[in-house]
Amino acid sequence: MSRHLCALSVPGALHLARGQPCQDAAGARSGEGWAVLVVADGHGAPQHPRSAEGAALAVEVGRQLLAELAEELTQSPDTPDAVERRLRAHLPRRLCWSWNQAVRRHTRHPRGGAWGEDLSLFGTTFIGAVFTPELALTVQIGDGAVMGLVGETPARPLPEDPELMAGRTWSLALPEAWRNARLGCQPRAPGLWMLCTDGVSHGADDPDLERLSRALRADLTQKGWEATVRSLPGLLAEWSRRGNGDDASLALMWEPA
Amino acid sequence: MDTLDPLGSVARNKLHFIWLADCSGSMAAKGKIQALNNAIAECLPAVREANAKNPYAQLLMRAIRFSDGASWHIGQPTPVDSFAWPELSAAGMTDLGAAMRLLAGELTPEKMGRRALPPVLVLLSDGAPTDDWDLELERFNQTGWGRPGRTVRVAVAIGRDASKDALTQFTGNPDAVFEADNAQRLTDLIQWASVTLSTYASSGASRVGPTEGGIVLPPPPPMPRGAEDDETW
Repeated sequence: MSRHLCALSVPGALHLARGQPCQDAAGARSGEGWAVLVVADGHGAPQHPRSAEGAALAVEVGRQLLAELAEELTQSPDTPDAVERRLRAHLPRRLCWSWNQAVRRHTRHPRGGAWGEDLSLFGTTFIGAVFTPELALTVQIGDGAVMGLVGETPARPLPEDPELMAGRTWSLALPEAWRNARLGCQPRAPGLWMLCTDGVSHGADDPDLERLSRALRADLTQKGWEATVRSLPGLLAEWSRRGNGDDASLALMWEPA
Repeated sequence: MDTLDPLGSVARNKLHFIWLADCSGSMAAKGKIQALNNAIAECLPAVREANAKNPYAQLLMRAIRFSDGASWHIGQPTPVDSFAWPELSAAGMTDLGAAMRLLAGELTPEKMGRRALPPVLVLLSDGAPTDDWDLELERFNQTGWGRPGRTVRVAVAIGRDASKDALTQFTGNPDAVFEADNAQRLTDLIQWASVTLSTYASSGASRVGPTEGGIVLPPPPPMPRGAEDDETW
């Protein structure tokens, strides 16, 4: 089965108008039989002035951590339920601890992985996905969305978080941030998988996101991977211009059935 | 073959702005209701101008009137460019609770979705509520969009007889209750609320953490400028 990955972030139209940098980040990684997708959205508000760095660090940490997990799950497969039970509390905690550490290394701060208020400067959301030959594991802290298109059916592997209304989001920088994580694991199926920040969609129940996924799959089928990926920066920039003006990130995996 | 346009339905974030206007009989005294009508009508060009500078939020206005009961004065969420203010008249009691009931029935995730910007609610009142307003307010505060931190709330106490306690309970914050004791001050506050708060609420930056954190308002307008000719309420 062929597999393609890509990840990109474009600065939002509102950010460009205000002279602000892109505060999103996105990444992908793959190995023998597995793949990892990650996106992060730095909060951008004045109380988080280094959130672009926070998002970049979240993607770096997420790619590394999830790649290690992907290797492990590929070599020692288990059922989706068992993996979800095992990782539900453990993976978000480890993710937060690792991000805290990465921020401290970045700032040469001696505190290590324990939470502290200094982290707030770097506040960011996080969404990651691990695909092994058997499993699709997703983890999310904050807004944004994960959606799959497997056959004609949209797959929404994570439940909506009812607390995320009115522009509220969770953050890796909050104390006990792992408590706000959503995690899901299910059998892997070929198709199109997308992770996105809230410049594209606030949540997977968004009809615009389903429309986008269907349109992208149509392009992938008709025009091919290279041509579709070449069109993505322009598509996301226009999406931001017509939409909420925010930075926009996508991480994609495409496995034709 | 699928020929979907991926951009087909992308829409700006919606910002709902709702006036809650007291039309009780006491608002007829000393020209208060007329001052309210004038102030809202006069603020609209500035709101349109401010909204035009932010192409990433769609400002939708509507209004509730309350006196003997409450009803939608303008029920349809209306783009501010086509929003007009039909004049209100004053008579009857101050049924703020009925207004809260209307609000609670409308600001639901089912009707508004969950993705809109924090709605701006501006309460304008000159008296003390006369119905079961505190019960209805509590009910509203427990609904999806009514929960603390999910709306931007400001109240203007019109004249010295306004119940600031009730207005503070509505806003949840004494610093979000402002006093207008003459027509000029009312105009200034209404202009501030409509322009500044709509711009603020549509700024787009994510707000982090639980909803209980509340919203810190931008500063209100300075105290009256040249209001010597206005009658004091």
